[in-house]
Amino acid sequence: MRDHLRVIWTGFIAWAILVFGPVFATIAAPETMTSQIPVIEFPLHYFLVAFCAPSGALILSAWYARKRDQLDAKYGIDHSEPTGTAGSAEDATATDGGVDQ
Amino acid sequence: MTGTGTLLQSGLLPQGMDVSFKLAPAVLVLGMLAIFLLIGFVFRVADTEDMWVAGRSIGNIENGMAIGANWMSAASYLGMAALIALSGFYGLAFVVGWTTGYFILLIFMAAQMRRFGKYTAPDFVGDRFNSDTARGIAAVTAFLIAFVYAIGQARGMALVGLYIFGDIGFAGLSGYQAMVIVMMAITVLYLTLSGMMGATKNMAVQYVILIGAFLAGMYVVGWTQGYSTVLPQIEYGMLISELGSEFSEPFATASPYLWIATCFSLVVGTCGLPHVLVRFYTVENERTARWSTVTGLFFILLLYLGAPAYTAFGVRLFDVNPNTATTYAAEGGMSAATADVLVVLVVVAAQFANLPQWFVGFVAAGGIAAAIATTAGLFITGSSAVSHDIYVNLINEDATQRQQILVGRLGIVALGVLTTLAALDPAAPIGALVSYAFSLAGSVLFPMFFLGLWWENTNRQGALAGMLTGLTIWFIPMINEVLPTYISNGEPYVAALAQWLPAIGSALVGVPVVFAVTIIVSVMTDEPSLKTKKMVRQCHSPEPMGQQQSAEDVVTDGGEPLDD
Repeated sequence: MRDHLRVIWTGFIAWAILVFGPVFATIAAPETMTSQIPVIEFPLHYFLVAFCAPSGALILSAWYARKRDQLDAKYGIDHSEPTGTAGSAEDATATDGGVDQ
Repeated sequence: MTGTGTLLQSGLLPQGMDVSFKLAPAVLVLGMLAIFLLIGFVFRVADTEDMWVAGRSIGNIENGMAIGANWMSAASYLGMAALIALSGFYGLAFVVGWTTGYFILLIFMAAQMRRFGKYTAPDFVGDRFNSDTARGIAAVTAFLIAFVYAIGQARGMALVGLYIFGDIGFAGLSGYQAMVIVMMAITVLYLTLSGMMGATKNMAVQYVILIGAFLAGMYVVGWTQGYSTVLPQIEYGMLISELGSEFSEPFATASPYLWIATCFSLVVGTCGLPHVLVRFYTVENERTARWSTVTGLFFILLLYLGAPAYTAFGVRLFDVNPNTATTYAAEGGMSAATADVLVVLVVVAAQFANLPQWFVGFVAAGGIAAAIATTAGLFITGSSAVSHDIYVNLINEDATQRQQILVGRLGIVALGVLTTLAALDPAAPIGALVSYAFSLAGSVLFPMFFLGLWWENTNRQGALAGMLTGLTIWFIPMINEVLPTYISNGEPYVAALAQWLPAIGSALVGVPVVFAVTIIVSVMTDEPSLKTKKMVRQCHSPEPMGQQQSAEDVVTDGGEPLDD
């Protein structure tokens, strides 16, 4: 659980920078942010917002789902065969979020 | 139809859009609608589990597609291009808000909601806070969201239908109004028949059609006009400098505050929309809930990354088209009148590019598929709020399955009638209507979901105080800004209020206030019962759960695992 929370908060901070960072940067330094990127010719702020933010969110999502699978594997949790009764695993987990860590 | 101010038919029709019966597109669209009805019939439902949560049997890719189709409505397919063209950089707040919110949904709520394992969003609120009043408020909110959101879809469907079938005005109605009625009748018919199972199976098909049509439109327009080759999502950057500074200049049409408020509202709205959340109740387990969010976001991005590109192509074609007699830059961006072209820009761009008629029809059909899929999701959650949350839980606790399904179907018909009436003469554009629904979901439901799942001490009093606060904060700007467009000159009553608490982004103020109120009231009153707390813990437990199990079942029957 603590591992999981660390993943969640890391992801959240990365997300916040990705989504709102370019906008605040554009407010702070409009000249720099609206300059043209070589080759693809986008204004920097437009590219960061229109392309990088959405695709970044997708990459973060895939990263999180993978991390979560790795955590499941690490603690031997298997979702493929639902147990029906939640209490069957031997080291029945305390659900207050402390024991599985 | 030249000149910027000339509009057809009560200002709803964009100039330059050719309204007439078109054979090939008509056959395409009718064929598509027949397929939807057939699939709905094959997967029709007989019990409530299938009706509301598709038997909790949907897999990863299929649910990803359903998330995509459910999400991408007429507002995405048709309305977003208009927003980007009209508002330049501000329009991107919608692109960002409507995509990146899924990450927040994924890390904080998707799997936890699946573990909670109920039927509807109001169910969660009612059971988590042990309060029928809270359930009632949430159900009314869900119904209101479905209604406000669906008006825009009805308008989008009707505009595209008009383009394809021509003016079929009957009984004193204009062609547009007649088309609203026809399209909504078809949607309601297929929904009452199929329920969630049929709707979910259909959503996968609808996704394939809508994304296929959109991408085909974008690639073919880009290719034939020489704007792009293989990656239009990036190549349109080279067009930007030719489109006039209005297209990309930051904060030219809206202040930075409005940009952030809008984007924030759309993000939290994404996490609070009942028809989005219910997609996580339909999957087989929590791992599927997580991965289908990832696939869903990928499927959504296929459209959203392309939307600004398609818009840039459309604006460029608008500039060079002799019939429009003006240019984007000459208009200083887009005036309200020329912007109407862009309501159906995706379709009109294909027409401006002189592509064959059947192809334009195919692109248009994608718009209809998008609108129908979203309306389906909205109506099912809206009617489940009526049937499941209000009728069964508050009125008739002993309702049989037959009665529940009957009331559910009546709910769908009622929503259909209400939406049709409201869409006959809509007062706000598609994008704005949809955004109000997001502000509402973000201010009222998102804080309840978030605190309900993550802070076990959130109690009934806190939730009630929070939801009422959220509703109030949502209503204030609606009255200040939206009411005047119906009853007076359209100017907000208090300009400063409209600046700092805009209707389109009221959740930026609403969310922190509602969080604070909920937490303060919860702390000042009694803690919730141990059973409720255990339910919350169960949502975060790493222990796998049965497919048909809810957190409450585990807490009630399987006392064993909770050895805390």
